[in-house]
Amino acid sequence: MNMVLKDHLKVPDEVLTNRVGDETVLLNLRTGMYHSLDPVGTRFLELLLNAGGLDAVHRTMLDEFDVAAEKLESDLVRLSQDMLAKGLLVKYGG
Amino acid sequence: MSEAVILAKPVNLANQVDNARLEMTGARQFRVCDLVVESTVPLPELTEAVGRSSDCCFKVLPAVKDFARECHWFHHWRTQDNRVWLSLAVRGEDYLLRFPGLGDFLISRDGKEVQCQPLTGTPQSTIRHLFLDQVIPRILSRREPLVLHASAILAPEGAIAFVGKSGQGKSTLATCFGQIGCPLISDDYLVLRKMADGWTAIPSYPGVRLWPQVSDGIFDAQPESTEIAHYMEKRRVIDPAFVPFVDKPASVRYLYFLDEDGDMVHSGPSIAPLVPREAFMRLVACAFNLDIRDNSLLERQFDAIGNLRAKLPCFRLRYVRDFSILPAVRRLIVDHQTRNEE
Repeated sequence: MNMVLKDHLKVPDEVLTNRVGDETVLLNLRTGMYHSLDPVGTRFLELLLNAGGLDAVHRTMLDEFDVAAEKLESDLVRLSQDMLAKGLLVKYGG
Repeated sequence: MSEAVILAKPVNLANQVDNARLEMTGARQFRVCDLVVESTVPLPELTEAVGRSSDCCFKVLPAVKDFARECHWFHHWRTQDNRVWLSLAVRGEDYLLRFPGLGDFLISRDGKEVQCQPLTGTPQSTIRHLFLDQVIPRILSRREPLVLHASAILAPEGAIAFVGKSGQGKSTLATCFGQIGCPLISDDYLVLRKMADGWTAIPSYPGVRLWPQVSDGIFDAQPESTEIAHYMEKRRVIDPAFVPFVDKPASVRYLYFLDEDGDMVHSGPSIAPLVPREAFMRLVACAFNLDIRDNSLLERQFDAIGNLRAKLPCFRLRYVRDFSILPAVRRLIVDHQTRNEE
């Protein structure tokens, strides 16, 4: 699945999220599987829910974390692909 | 979760009752976890409920040599050695719970009717155990916010729950607290209800289920005990002199998750806070659920667990499973609560 920073992503209706401390638990009702995100993944999801676009998330996280732009981009794309594959995110028009 | 679901032909529960020509006279009402059960068979483990309308009718059909027919199962629960010990199916509008070699329980979709079809040779005590300790918590999982695999006792500060899977020592620990005057609220499964002032533990019914060696290790004098089920060594201890019971709901103060003792042979008992995510996931793993495909139920349970986890402190409790250190474990827990209440 090709992902680029201009893609827009959201959590589908069948996925429930619960913020637990600085982490997040997700339940995909379609699969019945529970997943969790660590604090960085939780921040990613929080920003994504507000912004929708990966590029906006990338810009904000670049300010917040001590990381090179290319490294952050590849990490965000990889996490997004992983969550897309598990049905925890879906692409939308943007 | 991966089994295909193929619905069987609908079966009319009422017709089945007629066909079975059940003896309907003499049905009595009993109470378990605020649930009033009208039963055609005696349930001596429970106290009788007087003057309340029943929430659930329990009937035992005549025993049969073999299970009636093959079903299309949606889930199988397995033992650690991978044997199926409980299979679940949907039959028409109803749920079917099959305990291999023992019997079937047909539960109406609303949980208001339960019929047991035992296999020949399954004793009454086993039927009652399966109904009280396996079927009832699953019915309650659809009626109540949360039903956990846990035992609970009433301490001076409020209810505390010991959460864990089978064999982790929940009943042993709860019994140990009974010896210092903390009565049992529930053994093995715990109904939790969200109230205005927090989460409340609902008493189930008196008695604990203990292995004979546990009973020997805990009590100086041996209490009377009764058979729980013919295939089980554990015995039920009801005598309130040994296992006091409280029949009033109590506000829950702490959840202790029992860990395996693992390789901690040389270290003492310990209590440590659980990180929120781990507490959440452990609650998920210990929650009863009749139908793991029911999204509305899963959604409700997800919210309940999130709320419970946020409201109640959750701790990991580790100790070597040795009777001689149980008083030290109990002291650790009492001191832990005292410190937290200060």
